[in-house]
Amino acid sequence: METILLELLQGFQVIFTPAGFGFLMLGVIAGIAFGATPGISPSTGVALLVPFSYSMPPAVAFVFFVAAYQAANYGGSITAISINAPGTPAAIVTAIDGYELTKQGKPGLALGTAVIASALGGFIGALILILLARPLAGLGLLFGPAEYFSLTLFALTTVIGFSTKNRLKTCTAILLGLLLATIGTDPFSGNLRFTLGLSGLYDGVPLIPAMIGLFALAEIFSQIESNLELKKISTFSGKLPGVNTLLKLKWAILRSSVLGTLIGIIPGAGATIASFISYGEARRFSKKKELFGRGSLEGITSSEAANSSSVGGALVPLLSLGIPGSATDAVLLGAFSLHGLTAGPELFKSSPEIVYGIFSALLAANLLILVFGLAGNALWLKLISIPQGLLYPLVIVLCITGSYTVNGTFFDSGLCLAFGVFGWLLKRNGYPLAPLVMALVLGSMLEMNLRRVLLMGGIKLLFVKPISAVLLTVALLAVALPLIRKKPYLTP
Amino acid sequence: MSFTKIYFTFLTVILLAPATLLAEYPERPVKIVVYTAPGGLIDITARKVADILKKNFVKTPVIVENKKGAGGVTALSYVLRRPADGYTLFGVTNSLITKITALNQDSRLKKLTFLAKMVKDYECLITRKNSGISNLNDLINDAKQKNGAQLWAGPAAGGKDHLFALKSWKAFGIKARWIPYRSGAEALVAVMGSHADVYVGNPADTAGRENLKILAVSSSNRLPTFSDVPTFGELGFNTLTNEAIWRGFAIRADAPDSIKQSVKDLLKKVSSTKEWQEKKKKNYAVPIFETGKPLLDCILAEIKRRKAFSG
Repeated sequence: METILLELLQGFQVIFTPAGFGFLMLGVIAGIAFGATPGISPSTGVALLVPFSYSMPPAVAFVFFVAAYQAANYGGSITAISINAPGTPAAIVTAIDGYELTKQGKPGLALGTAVIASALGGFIGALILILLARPLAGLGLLFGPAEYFSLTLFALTTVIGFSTKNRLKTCTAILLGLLLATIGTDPFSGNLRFTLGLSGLYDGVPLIPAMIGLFALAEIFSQIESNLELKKISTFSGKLPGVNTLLKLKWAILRSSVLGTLIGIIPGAGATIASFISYGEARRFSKKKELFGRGSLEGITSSEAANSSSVGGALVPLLSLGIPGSATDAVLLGAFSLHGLTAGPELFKSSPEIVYGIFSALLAANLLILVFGLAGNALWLKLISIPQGLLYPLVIVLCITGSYTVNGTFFDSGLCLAFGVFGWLLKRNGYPLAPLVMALVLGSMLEMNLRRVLLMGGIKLLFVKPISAVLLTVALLAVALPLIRKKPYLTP
Repeated sequence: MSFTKIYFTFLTVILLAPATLLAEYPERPVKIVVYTAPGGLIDITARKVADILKKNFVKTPVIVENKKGAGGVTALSYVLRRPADGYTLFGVTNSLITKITALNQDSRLKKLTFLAKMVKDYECLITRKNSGISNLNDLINDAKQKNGAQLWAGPAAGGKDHLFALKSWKAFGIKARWIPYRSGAEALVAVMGSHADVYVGNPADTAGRENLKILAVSSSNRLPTFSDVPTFGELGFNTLTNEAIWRGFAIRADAPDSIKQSVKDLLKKVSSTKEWQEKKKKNYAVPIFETGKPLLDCILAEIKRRKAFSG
């Protein structure tokens, strides 16, 4: 314990230099901005920063990256809650209850809960990383194709619980998402599938334009259709959650943070799966299940704590094994070699100032996220208090430019619009959109791992491997139990 | 001659002088386009080249631009859309050539002139230290015993690593299964976690990962940093020698010949700097400088090999 404190002190020496602290702050601010911009995911955001770091001392560069990485995972919640445009894939889950609260006129409550849950979650994730990186490293390696398939399937079944009305329609939405996920280059043979000769579809349906279209644009289209009266500013409450409210959420935060960190450790699972599974679990444990999907603070908490804590988790395999735990870690891995370093256990010996710089940057970044986040909330509240007649055109512009920024092509902007119309049509017929997007996100993971299982030894592997078997059983129960219950709590 | 006339003549001379008399490439910023995100191998190579150029040889900025997506087609289209003035370079690798060929877009490669190959990463076979396979012979025996069920992990089928695997199975006289992963890193994790037996990669893949072991490498002589790793040639598999992933640079074919030559000279200068040679050694890659016909032949062979795979 003493040695860890001493080593951390070494890390804090990096942060307490003018350059170190400056880039820590800059990283947090840039990260929040990236996260909040639909179109820039945490990995893209960090990738944008990498070229600027070329002439920085490596220890400062990594403080910068890690601060941005952590902050971007929080930033996604801002636009998810205020305008239903999740800035990151993980924030899809936050949007479900967060935007609901905004519609009820309580955006302050949702935004405040999101900041606090993110900062605490991120902090817990960082602590687990610092204390247990070495012993937990092996956890990620336990996951092979069978385990990944079952984990993904489990995440997908939690989605079925999201629907408050019609299970059949939820399942249809999931299947639609899975179908869309088959578009693109076949990951095994390299052949093109259903791309219609459009090179914009070679890498599959671009996730971010699809997500923004289905959520934000579809929402605006339905609002326009329903021709709601323009809400007045005074109907919005900027009130932040009180201490009592927060104390009630303590177990949800703790549970989701631990779960998020553990899922983060599994390479490739990442923030999105962490948020979805944690949301499903929060609902299972909750005393107020009926509130989920209708503005539950536990829902927002579970999603935000989980995706923020997954950052610390995902750094476990990167630092202790040299393998990336998430898409952002893959960017960091590249950044290491750009700076002439090699990620992995050697780093603890060869450049401890970098490892401990990363550790202390994570801890400090979460503190700054809390400060900047709470201060920034006033700004976001102002933004959504704009009359809808002005706000909606702004959001539409943001969606279209945001889609453009992903790959710098207008094809993606067009696709975003098309998905907006598609989402609006689905919505008006009562099909939920979150399950569709979730299936689109997880589809290729599900497909590739199932195909690997089949290549490696057949379907029986799914049931023979213990972790996989347990996950499959839980998934089955998650679907079956509510159906068996006499009075399903889901029907309104 | 009126004053105005003299003035204009003077002005014309002043304005044209830099363009005609002092024209030495590059006069404007140079852009290097790469097809991966920042941190990809070719991106790191391109940034190092840009850095050395700026420090030693050119006065204008050299900018690296990342255009990822669609297996390199996005970057290729972008380069071909830019003016043929020689101010846009394209970072290329043989994986890129294989991918473009797999997407049936190889005819567009003719619109490029390949200037030079600058770095080489030899192919090698990697396993876990505690897997019970401690040398190539063990691997071959294990494969024979498993009778086609030995698992080889790597990127998508038809890629450079898969083609190397097929070639080595033929050389060893074994059968095995290719398990494709989205990226090399993911495949490596599968080998580290005992979910697959062998990974086809490069020596650099073992850097910082304690529990990995290289069985054999395809260089013709042992690599200085891995002096205990035998070459395929030593073990009697000469057909597997000199298989490598390489990285280099190309330019639009219709760019002026004089500029092509200038760029080639600049790249040559970069490759002979001490900084370049040392950096590459640190990254376990081998610095080379290959150009002209040998390079072209190598590219044509690459395209032919990928086409033969598709049938």
